[in-house]
Amino acid sequence: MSEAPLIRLRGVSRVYRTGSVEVAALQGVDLDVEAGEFVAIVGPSGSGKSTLLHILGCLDRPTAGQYLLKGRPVDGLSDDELAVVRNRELGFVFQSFNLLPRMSALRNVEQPLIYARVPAAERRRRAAEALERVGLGHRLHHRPNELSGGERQRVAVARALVNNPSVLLADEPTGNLDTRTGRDILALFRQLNEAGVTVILITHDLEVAAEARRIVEIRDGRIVGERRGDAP
Amino acid sequence: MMLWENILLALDALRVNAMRTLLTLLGVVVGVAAVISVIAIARGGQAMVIREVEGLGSGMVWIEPNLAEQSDFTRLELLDQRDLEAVSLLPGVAEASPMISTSMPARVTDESRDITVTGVSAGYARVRNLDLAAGRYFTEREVAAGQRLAVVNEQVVERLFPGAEAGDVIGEVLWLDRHPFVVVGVLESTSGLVASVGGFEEAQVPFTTLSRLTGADEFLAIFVTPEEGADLDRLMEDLRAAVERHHGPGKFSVNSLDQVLGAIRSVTDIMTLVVAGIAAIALLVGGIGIMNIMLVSVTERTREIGIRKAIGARRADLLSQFLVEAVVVSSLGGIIGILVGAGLVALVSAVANLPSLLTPGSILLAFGFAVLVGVVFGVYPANKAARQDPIEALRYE
Repeated sequence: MSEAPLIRLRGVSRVYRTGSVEVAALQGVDLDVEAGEFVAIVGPSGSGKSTLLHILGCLDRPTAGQYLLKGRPVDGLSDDELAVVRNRELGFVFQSFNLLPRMSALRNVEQPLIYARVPAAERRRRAAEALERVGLGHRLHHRPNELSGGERQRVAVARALVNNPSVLLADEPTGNLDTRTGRDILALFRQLNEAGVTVILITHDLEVAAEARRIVEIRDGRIVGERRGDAP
Repeated sequence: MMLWENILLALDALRVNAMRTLLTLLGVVVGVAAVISVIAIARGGQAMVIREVEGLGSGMVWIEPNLAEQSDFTRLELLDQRDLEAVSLLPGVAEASPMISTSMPARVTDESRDITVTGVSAGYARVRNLDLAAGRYFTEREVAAGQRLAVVNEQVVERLFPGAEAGDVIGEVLWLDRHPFVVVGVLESTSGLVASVGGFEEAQVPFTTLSRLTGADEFLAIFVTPEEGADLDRLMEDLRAAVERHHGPGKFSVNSLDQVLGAIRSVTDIMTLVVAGIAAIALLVGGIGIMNIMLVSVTERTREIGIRKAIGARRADLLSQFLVEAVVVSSLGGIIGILVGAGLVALVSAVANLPSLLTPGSILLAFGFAVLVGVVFGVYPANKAARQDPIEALRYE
């Protein structure tokens, strides 16, 4: 193979140790994700999909195996170096939105750029652009509690996108939304993916997973199958 | 950029819990106000005492029996005419004035009472900074001639000339024991604290006259006014040497008002420091309050910390965010404390008639201390925030 994929996991394991008991949440996971893909990782609760997301998102480190992001190993990085990777290369969308409640949508989206040391004026411009991109150009100065669930998740997507990450990581992004709003958010992901954003979506819901082009099934900490989704 | 962002975040967080912030501030406010007002009021009191002491005769030097050496009062060795002459001839001495002090019955009409009679030379008024309310002081020639003249203080006028004003008693006769003295002057009463403690009746007469009447030709003290620009240490050494030539070492001590002032200053400085230290403990308690509230705040905002870590905040970013928040609280407390303290000082100095000495130095000191308290007591909670595990923090409900 000539070029390394965007993400490459090789033999990744994550073992939790509580006292003398060892629990393996992930066991020898191999996974490649190319730039521009739309991947759904699907599995029941307790299957290890959240642990996988944490490792992909550089919030956690594997206890064994290797993780290459853009061809570079990230498992040996310090906490602060991982924070920089999260800031520059990764964007998170959570089930419970995780917006900062006391700030306007615009200020919420600006936050990653503060840590990227982007000057204030440019920060505001880019945050507004990101909100336009998710269809919230008219809601810049609303606080999370003045927005609907769907709108809140759009703000979260804008925040994830604002620093032009390599990968968008979404953890059950429709879990707190009604079916219709959930569909809208998934359509937004597909639209972003068509525009070139790599999306990795984690869900237990097969219907949601079907929106992706590639579906990876995980069970008991191992990848047990892979198939194409409905997406073209 | 980051600092400004952090200050905005801190103000935001503090506004959300306005009541809590206010109560936390209060600890620092009390501490800073206490430090500032204690220092200012103590300095004011010190300045007042020093001003009073200086009023006793600025730059004055005197020789008196060293009571630590001469403990037997019945055989007290005093100064004499030889000492006065030797002292007068020393370089750097502008004026030397002897003093004899005794107690005598005094009367004007029938009523007699014991008053202090001080025998001095004509220069005594200048040496001791004495002002006259009426009349004049006796002259050198009158002293040399041993004339029976007296200068009395206001207490004498009050007690022995009931109802009379200072000007009325000039030319009147004051009987000291069996000897008539003509009153030529009345001393201005010194309104100060030190003088009013003295409060006794006193008549000053030429020392020549007094020693002839009582047979006493020895002096209790010699007061010296140094020449302008004289080396005081050198002069005091010369005075000691001159007196020791006649009396031997150790029997007399040479004192200066500067020494007394220095002693007063160092004592009041220490007192100020002690009281300010006690006040600073209040500030320390305020700091503990800040730490307490910051720990609560860090726990409450665990989720926020997780979110910030997920979007790329480094340890230092979170550390500075929470540290700035603690310092903003303590600085706000400091500013309010300075205002309250300044008000308190103004009030006290108005009521107690003290000079208020609110110096920029003490304000800066108190403010700096408040900021320091914020840093010291903010570090632990801020560090706790910075060290959170991002996954645990994101899961926190």
